[in-house]
Amino acid sequence: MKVLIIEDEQKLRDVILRYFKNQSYLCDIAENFKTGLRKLISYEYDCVIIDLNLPDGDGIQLVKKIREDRPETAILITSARDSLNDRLAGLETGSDDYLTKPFHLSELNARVKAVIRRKTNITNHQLEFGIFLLNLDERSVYINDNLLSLTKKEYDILLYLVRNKNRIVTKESIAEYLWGDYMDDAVSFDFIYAHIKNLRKKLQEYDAGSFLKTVYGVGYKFSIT
Amino acid sequence: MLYNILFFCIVLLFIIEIFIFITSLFILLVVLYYIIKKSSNKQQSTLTPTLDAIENIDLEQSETIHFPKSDNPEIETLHQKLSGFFIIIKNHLNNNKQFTQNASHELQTPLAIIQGHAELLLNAPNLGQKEIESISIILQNASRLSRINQALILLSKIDNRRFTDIENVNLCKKTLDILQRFKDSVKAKNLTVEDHFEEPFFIEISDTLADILITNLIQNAIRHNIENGKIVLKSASDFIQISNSGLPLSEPPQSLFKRFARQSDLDESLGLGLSIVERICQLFDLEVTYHYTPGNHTLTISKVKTTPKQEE
Repeated sequence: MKVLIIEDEQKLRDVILRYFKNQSYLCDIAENFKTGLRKLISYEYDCVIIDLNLPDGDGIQLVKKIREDRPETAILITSARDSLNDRLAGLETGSDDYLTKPFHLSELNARVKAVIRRKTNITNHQLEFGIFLLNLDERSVYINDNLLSLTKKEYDILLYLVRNKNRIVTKESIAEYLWGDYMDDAVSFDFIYAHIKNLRKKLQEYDAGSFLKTVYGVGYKFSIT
Repeated sequence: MLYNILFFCIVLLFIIEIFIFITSLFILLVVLYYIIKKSSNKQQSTLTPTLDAIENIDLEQSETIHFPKSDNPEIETLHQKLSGFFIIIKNHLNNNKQFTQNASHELQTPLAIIQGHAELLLNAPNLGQKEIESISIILQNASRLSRINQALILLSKIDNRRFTDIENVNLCKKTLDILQRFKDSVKAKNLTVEDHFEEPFFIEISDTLADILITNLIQNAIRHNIENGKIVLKSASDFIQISNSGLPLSEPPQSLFKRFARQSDLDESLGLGLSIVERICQLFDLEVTYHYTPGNHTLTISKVKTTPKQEE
């Protein structure tokens, strides 16, 4: 997967770059509008992450440009501008998703994977991880060909953890991913705790409960090691 | 005998004198009254245009203040001074708004950098539990800071009237719609929702702000509720009421709408929800009032009764 990160803040660009390199993406960067445009003309990417507020131009123009040239490229906008109008303008010009700063890298990662999936024309979307098989179209999970019966929220949490596999995922980022701003931290943490408990019980039926690890006081980690 | 008559005459003279004195005093008073009244009448009529100009100012919206020309040099000076004050106040107001807006926006990028690097660090190899916990505390507080920041940005946007999607909104319907988003939270506390909406409450309001208004009220009613508690919804054509069971307030109710007012240190809220509610209400001629009966907190949003100005 080739990803282009267009972001003018060097420190933020670096951190996104390092995170995505760890995920074994092929990453490219652009620090401003001009470089971004040049790279978009010369190369092909599966996904472009664009900051709207660039020093030498409006990111929206880049979104339009990509849509004209390569409609199959997935676009995710990041921006400090959080007004609804900007959000709508972003989505109307053809970006696939929108994330406001500051964001959790694990959420950016999960969303990038989701927009790439939506853009690729494979009919059967599956994610394999050890003994696990997630069918993204059916929203179902198999362990060694056995179908798990999961609730919607349990599936969402598992998918989020698998998309961020082998990494610690904080409970705050899970809460934001599942409920956005609509839930109290205290309440949502109780929920996550309850969902994880049930999820682990269901995994345990196939001796897979230990893959879902609790990092005490911080969050969770899904790994097969 | 003569002595008596003389005494009588003196007394009579004295009385007459007093009478004349009082009468003249009365006449003087009456004359003075008319003089004063006339002069004050005259003053009122010269100041009326000035007063009208001042009364028509909306500090939020007026850009300049216009006074009619006056022949009276004193009045002209007054107008100049008042215009000067207006400009100073207006500048302060604008600077204040600008500052909140800039400060909040400029905070977002550094916050994103802190959050990103902390998240990267969280997954560094060979970390002990203590280090992981420290990083997690950095992350939690960065995200709290970012939520405070979002709320301040919202407040400054409301202050700058950046919402134009004005519609005729039924707040009762809005409340029921938004409650759906919170059904997980309602279930978690095992709350009962009693829908006693009788009449729809329609108001002209920005749809986005109506959403934020009701969301804050519901969030409030859930957060400060008790296990197995209740949320009661009531309405009429000129008000909507959301009450919830809960423990008595630990702070005086007047401080409820102040920014960063929280009921206790354990309180997870930011203390900005109700001041946002109040600000939205002010903008659309609504009034929010708080009422406590033992075990129950009630917040009412009603239309401000516009009392017609008393004409003399």
